[in-house]
Amino acid sequence: MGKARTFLEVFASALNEDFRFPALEIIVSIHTVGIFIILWVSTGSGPGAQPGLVFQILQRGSPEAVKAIIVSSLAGLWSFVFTSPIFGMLILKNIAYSLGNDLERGVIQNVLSYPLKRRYILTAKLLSSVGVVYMLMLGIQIFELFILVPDTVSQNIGFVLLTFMAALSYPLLVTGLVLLLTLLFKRGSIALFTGIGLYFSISVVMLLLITMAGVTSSDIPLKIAAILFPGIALGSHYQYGLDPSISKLWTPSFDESLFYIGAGYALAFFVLAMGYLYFERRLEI
Amino acid sequence: MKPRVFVLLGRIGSILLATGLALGLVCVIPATSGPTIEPRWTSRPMTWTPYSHPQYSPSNPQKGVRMSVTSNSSLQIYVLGTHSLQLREWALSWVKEHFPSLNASQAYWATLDMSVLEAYLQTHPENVMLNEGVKGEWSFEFFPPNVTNVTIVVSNPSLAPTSVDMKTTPIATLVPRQRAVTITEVLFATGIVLALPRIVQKSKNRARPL
Repeated sequence: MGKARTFLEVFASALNEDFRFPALEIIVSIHTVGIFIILWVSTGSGPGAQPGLVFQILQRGSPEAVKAIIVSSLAGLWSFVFTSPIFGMLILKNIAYSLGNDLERGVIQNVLSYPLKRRYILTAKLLSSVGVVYMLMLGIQIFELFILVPDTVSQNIGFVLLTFMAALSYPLLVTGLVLLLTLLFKRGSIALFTGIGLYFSISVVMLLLITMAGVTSSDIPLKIAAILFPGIALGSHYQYGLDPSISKLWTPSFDESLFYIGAGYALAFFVLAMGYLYFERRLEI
Repeated sequence: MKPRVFVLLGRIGSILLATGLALGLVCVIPATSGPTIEPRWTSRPMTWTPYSHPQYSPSNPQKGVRMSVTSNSSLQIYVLGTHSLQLREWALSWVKEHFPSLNASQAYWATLDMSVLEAYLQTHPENVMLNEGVKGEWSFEFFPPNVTNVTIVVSNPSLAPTSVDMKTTPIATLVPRQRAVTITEVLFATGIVLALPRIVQKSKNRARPL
């Protein structure tokens, strides 16, 4: 009980530091309004435009067609880069800037004085800086989808969560890398800029890998892309988002897509585990 | 530990309030409207007229129709969740079934009789999405709860011809308003309940002398 209480204490204090009132509230409001406006613009903004069409396919389409729309809306690079950048930046800011500052100024020593193992302290910090943001991001987006298409969401909630999982492994990988860099340099600025670069360069990397697959007529670059960003595997399975000549090279089965989602998370957790090991055994303060 | 719980609950409450506020804001953004179509006709006694347009049929919870009707006598307006062609086909088959001796032209005019509409309403009550008695000026914004074809039916139950001046405008909103308003209310209520202890605690702390 004592350890749990201390863990909660560290978590609450990290939460207070990471999200000062009313920053989180403002971000949540902007995100809520922004997503609706983006959806409105992207599906056609007039009464005779596509919102009706999307609704129609979602209500009257076959289960596979509905799943293809879910994948195209949630697991594409577009939705990842443009609908979640605020949360992505928030995670990077929390890890690189807050933790980096704590390390640079020696404030981390206060936190380490808690009677708690280092790994639990880092877990509490990550839970605050990454866990809360992920929960909010998922919560808001599922909530918004529920307002727009409640039947589709309730009938496909497992698939919706799987699609979000496919889209969110890359931010976790970047988080792990930024954590590792922050711990190595004991300051946040380099890690923050690297993280921002990695976060937004994924589109370029994907484009390069897809072009390479097209030029070499090999599916290996596509598989590498799918490990980095598993949304590609799901998209290829449902024949969405790739040029037909490219998707002809590689059409994974659904189980294969699941494997690539797993591989993406394995990679992200491996990098995070390196950060944990470094924080616990090597970090000298 | 107790203050920490208050802080955590208060924070969750303020986030819910912020979400509710944002959703409320999205709800009050006015609907965009398309071109208005203004059919005018004189409705014969004891007849009905189906009316539909691809601009608002099919409709969905985000895309609906704003209609306004001006008449010099009482009318009955129905919004039916069916395609106007299906409705006409059903009416024609009903007339042919009940009056087999009528020729094609007579059967067509017979479909417009009130009794045919009444038979349809009795056999398809699930398709009736709006049933409104109208006299003088009347306007309404209609959004169906699901994706559906929409046919507006104007029936003249009186024994005198009635002039009908109708305007239909397709409209679209950012969110399905009815659903969003309910959720906004829930978010506000939950947010206030969760944030209240924290607010009370803060105000007590402020009131306490140094």
